[in-house]
Amino acid sequence: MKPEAERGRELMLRLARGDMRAFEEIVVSYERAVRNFAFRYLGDERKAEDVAQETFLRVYTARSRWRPDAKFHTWLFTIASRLCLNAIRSQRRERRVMRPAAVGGDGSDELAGAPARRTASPPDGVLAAERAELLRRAVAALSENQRRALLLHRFEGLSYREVAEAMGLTLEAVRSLLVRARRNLHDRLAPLLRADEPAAEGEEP
Amino acid sequence: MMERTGLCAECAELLVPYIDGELPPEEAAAVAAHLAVCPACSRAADEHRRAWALLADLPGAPAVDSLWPRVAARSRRIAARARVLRRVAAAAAALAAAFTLFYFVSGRDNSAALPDPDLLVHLPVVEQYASLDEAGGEWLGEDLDLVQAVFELTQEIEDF
Ligand SMILES: [Zn+2]
Repeated sequence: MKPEAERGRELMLRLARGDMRAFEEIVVSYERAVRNFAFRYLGDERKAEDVAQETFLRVYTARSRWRPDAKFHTWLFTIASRLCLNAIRSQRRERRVMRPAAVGGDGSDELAGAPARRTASPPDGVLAAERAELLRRAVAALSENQRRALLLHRFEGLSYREVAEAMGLTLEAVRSLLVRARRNLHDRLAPLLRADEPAAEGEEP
Repeated sequence: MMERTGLCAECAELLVPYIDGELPPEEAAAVAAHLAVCPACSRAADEHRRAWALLADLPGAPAVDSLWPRVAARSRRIAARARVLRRVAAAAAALAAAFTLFYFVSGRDNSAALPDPDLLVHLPVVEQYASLDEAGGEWLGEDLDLVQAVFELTQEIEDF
């Protein structure tokens, strides 16, 4: 943890001094994580790539303003997460203009609002693809804030406090988002958890 | 079905932050103590853990070539434009001063000799963008169109 944070900090300081090698190292080291995050959030490969590119360009243009006391990793995902939010919003605007009632045919990005079809509970040996699809739908069905908090915490390793910082929320709000995310995932993950007991923790607040 | 005594209900709210290691020590200790004596909550905690573990299989982005060449090209363009902007801003400011002086001294209209009035109209914008860039400001995306327009104005200065 420590060396990782130290490394991001050091690279950023070098970039601030105009060292493009440091910038290259930043992009190469973090692009995978940023693209994964954007892809899991947006469900669209091309948009995820745009977000990732734009994220690094913002790192570049903000190079001289970056404060060394900010944790680089958290800051990077703060940018990525805002850009994802923008992408979602413009996607929604486009959709409203282009096909008012329709929902994406590929199902790749019908997000929170659209209840994913309830997948018939698969038998024990769930194929990897089905499993991935179940997970994708489960996560896509979360509210945007829940999804963002979940991805930042579970996949990017941000602590609750760092998620709060990245999302501009209080620690308490993040905690509640994750509790609700877990609750909302319950039904959709049930086939995978092969829950043999009805979960008592379940109903919506 | 689990029983929901007061303690269990309280525990349920804390389980997720508990397994995430995000509870303050006293609360964490209280939850741990409850889990030790309550099979239902203990099972629930276990299920949370498994749910979180399942998520690890959520697919990430398909592997593609590194973004670096494209990011590098775009950042070089941004840097080049920023340099041009600073030059334009300086030149435009000098021009504006020169023309003010010209009018003041000659007192006559010599508009044929003036540069495109657009340039003077855009002067504040140019200055704003140049200083924004100095500060490491962000003007990406649609801003780039504006920057492009300003960039083209440099040709006019050079022609002039
Ligand atoms: Zn209990």
